[in-house]
Amino acid sequence: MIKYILFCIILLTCFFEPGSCPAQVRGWLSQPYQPIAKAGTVKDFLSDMKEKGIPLSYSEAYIEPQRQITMRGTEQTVLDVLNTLFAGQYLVFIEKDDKILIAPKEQQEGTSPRGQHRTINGFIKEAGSNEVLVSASVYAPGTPYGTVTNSYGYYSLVLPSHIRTVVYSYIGYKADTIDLLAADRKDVTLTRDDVLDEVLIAADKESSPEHLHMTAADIQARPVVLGENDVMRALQYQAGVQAGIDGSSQVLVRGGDPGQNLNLLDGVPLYYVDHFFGLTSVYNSDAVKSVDFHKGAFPARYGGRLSSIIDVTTRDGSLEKWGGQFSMGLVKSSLNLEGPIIKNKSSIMLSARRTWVDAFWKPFTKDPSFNFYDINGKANYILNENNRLYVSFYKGRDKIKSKVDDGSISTQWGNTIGSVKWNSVLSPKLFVNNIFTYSRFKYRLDDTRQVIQYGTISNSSDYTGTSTINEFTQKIQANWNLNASHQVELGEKYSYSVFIPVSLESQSLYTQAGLAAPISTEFATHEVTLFAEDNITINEKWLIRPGIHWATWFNKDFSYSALQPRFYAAFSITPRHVLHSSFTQMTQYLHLVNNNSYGLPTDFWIPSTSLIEPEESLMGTLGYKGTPGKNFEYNIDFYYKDITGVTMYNQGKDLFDNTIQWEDKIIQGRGWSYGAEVSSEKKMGSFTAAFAYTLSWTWRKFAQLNNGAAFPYRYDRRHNFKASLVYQRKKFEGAASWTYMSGEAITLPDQVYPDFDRNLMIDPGSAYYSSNYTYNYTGWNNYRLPPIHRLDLGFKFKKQKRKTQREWGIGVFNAYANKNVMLVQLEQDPDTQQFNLQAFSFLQFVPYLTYKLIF
Amino acid sequence: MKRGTIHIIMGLLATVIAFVACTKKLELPDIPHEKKITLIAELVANDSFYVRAGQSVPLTRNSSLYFDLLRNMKLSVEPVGLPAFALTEYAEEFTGQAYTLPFASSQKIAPNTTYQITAAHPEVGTATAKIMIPGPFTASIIDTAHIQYSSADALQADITINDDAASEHYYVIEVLKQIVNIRNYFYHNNQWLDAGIYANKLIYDSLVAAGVQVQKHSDTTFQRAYTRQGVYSNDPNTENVKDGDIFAMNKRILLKDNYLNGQNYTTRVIIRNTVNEFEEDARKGVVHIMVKSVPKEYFEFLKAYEQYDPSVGFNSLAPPVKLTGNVENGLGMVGAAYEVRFSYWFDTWGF
Repeated sequence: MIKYILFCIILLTCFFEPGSCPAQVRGWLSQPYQPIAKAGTVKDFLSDMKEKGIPLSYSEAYIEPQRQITMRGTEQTVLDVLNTLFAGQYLVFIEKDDKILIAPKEQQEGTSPRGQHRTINGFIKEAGSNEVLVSASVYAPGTPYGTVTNSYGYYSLVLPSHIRTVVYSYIGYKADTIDLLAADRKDVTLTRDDVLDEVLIAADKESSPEHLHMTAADIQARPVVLGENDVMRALQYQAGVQAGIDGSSQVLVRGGDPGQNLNLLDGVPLYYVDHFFGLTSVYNSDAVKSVDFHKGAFPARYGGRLSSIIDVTTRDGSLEKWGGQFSMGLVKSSLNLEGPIIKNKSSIMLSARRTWVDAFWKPFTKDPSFNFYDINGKANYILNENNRLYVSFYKGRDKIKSKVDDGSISTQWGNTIGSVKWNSVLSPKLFVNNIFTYSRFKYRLDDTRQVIQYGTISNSSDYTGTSTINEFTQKIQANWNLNASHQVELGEKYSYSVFIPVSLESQSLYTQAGLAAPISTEFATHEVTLFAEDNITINEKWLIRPGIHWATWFNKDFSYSALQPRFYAAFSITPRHVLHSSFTQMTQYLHLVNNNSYGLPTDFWIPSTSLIEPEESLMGTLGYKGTPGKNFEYNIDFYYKDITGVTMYNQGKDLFDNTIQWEDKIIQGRGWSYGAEVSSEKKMGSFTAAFAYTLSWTWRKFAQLNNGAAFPYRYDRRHNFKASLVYQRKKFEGAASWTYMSGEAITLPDQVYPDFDRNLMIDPGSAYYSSNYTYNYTGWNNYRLPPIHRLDLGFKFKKQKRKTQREWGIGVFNAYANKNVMLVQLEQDPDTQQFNLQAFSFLQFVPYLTYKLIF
Repeated sequence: MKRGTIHIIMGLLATVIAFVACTKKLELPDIPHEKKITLIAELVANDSFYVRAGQSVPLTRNSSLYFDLLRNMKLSVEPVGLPAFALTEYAEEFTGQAYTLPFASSQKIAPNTTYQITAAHPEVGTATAKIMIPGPFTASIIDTAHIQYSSADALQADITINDDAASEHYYVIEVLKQIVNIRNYFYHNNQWLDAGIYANKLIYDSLVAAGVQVQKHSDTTFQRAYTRQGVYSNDPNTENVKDGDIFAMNKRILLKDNYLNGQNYTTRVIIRNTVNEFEEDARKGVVHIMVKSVPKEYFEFLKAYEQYDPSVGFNSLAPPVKLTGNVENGLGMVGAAYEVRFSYWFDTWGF
């Protein structure tokens, strides 16, 4: 089996890039090359070489870019041209990692006395704002030594002392190569590069395809529904990720459900991540700095969810100057302001957005009314070179109100979170982060209808339903850069959570009948977590990352503990071809019970209790990452995931039915998913082409459903394909993406038979709706809806003015108006009584227009 | 671009979106679902056999919701260890609305006995259902009270079930109003006249107007037809409260043995629509509060039936509720019960 998999990988590798097989790589220095002109500056010649695909790495500090050069006319190869350009200079040209490194000669000649190392450390920041950059790379070219900055922009790298040059790079920014002088503390600023250069990060076995780092620019490059750029929608372009219902911003990862994603905003868990029925997520893209997404090989610091980690970091706010942006789309508008409180010492970022579409329809009708808003705030204060304090805040809320009968139904839900973080560089090798967080989710339903019959809630006064979670967390996390081979991360976390999964209060006449609803009591839990992980660089070929995550969840009635091993290994066949594998165990003590994936507030979080067991997953992955050429990479991954304790409502039940018996509404079963993922991205000048394909199978098994037999998960989509083409220039951006997904599986009845009560000669009376027949269900999820496919187009027109930049965005979702099915209903033709399956499609040719002003 | 222009563009775009939602018809799977025999009954201990039989409609491409009555069907009952006997088909007025034919036998259903019902049809095949009739138990209503409930009269009843610790029981409480045919007569000119006849009613009214003391009486005939009375419970041990809404009306209240544990267990129910709700004689009747001991498979069926909401029909958002019957090679449910019945007369009749 292993041989077969390896054979497939090699075959696919050669298929995607025939020239990329290691045996076929040719030396860049010996490549034929004709200079563009007889004379020019060093920079002109180097730029031409780069445009023709010759990968060069150098620092302008030592190449004298403006020096005029005249070619001899005899140059035939790249090496010939470089020798002419740098004749008489003390430089060497080295081919390493499939690129040409131009470096000072002494840097390469020196060797370290055995065991002598130095530790360089510092923060990588954005020039102009001094805002730290997350996941920026620091590496010594031509060596296995490298690292990335953490969530606070800090890095620490232990290097053999003879290494004199390191490169700092970050996507969308100009890379910088720095000579290491005496000081080991290197706080580096990188300048934004509007036109993406050929910066190639060292073939990087540390970042596997299981981890994706996205910047705000990545998120905003995609065409989207109604122009709402969104973190979750950008993630849907990744292999192994799907939306569930088409058009929704939900993220389902490798057979998991939305409740199995750990959604973090500045390190604080969010419980509800949808606005506007899943049209957009609660992450305001104008406030987002970057996103780290993990779909496997989970680092040990993460826990508490099974399927993915979505770790969103918001902007800190510029330390140098005040600025912001205003944006407006069809649905909402937002305003973002940021700037220094004390220049280069303290800054603040405030961002707010709200729907305005309700204001648009208000003149025509006030029923139903709908709106959402969210506010992000973040402040930071640099105490000194080694200590920094962050305070962040978020509040978001959705509200729907509708008049019914003589009263109304009003529903509102949202998150409120706050955090205080204190970063401390205790030594060049040790970075410690102390975190205190608070997270609150609240759902409230106010029903003031008067009398409702047919078995639903009937009341004559106020009725209020709520569901709340309050979580307080203290966490300490440390990055300890032990030596050149070991980067250790360890920490602890304690959480105290209070749940009221559902509560119902009523002052209705039921009280007189002795039937008042019992009010749910609070349910408190404690969670303690310890974790440790070591990133071990064994040699140039091998990297392993063993880790352990231990968590215990308890209160006076129960206690669960789980030791969760994590392991990641990467083997570099060549620097550009990396095999990687991972094994992770995850445990989840919270369960999101839902009946669908529309992002409706009918989904509730419930904790593990003595009756509800935790969810656990075991996942193994095997993958291959190739970066065979300039700006081209592809990934092939295989995965298998097994989940126990999968949670869902028992058939026909709802948590609000009975607030004190909520544990009895849940059934638990098993799920498993397996598949293969292939993705690729190629940059060609201003164009970036990418695709992601997933072939997968996902199953569920519950003793109470389908006679205990396994059945396909609702979103068991066999094929999931996304392709995109993005064109980016300074004044114009265009993006096209095409999506294809197999249809979802639904449970369709197979027979209709006469009703039971009717045949016992019982008339339903006035109390019930009754039908003369009953649907019979045999197999669960036995019917496939048609596949979904659509083309989305988006264009941005940018205009730089003296102090501002203006952007207009237009586009269309589902450009060829394919009727993608979102809901089906069984109906009978009134004349023939013939059965019809009526399919509803809502998102066809949905245009958008957005405006953004950056100041 | 002027602000007004922006608003117009936004408005147009929003209008386009509102109009693009549309529907299309999907084909049902073209798989050869076959019609199945459907058996429906509740066999009550010490009552006579009464089973309804029909057929299902397969949900496949081009099928129509039209229930053909299944003629030429043979039904028989075989008590375990005893010879089988036939159930006889007969004609009645409810066939049209039930989509089934009635089969009956005057033989008494014995408690603690297992019966196998077999239905055979030359084209559709043979279906069987096996069910055990529960043994006797006792129950009593220890208290009743008329209460005002959601602006209507209601009856509150405290019911005690005397559970037998020796075996496992499943209990069902159900309230049905049995409709009574009422014929009113008065005595005039040495004969009893039917007051339901308009000419006779005019005579009666003239006699009453003249101050004549008229002798009268009413004949009542009980129909085999019932009207369900919604029942509420806030007993946390009932399956209804565990599964559902304490505010919602239930068809049946369901109690498992493990909460009774061989004790005398009292539960409270609130019954709506019991008292003089209907003025017309055609809807008057007697209210039966029935406490039943039922087999486990029937209890589970009724529990799912309680969750099944026919008003939803089928749509892909609503989670399906599967009703698991006990008819092999067929559909439906042949239930069984030992019943303790309490009857209340709330309606008044006469003239």
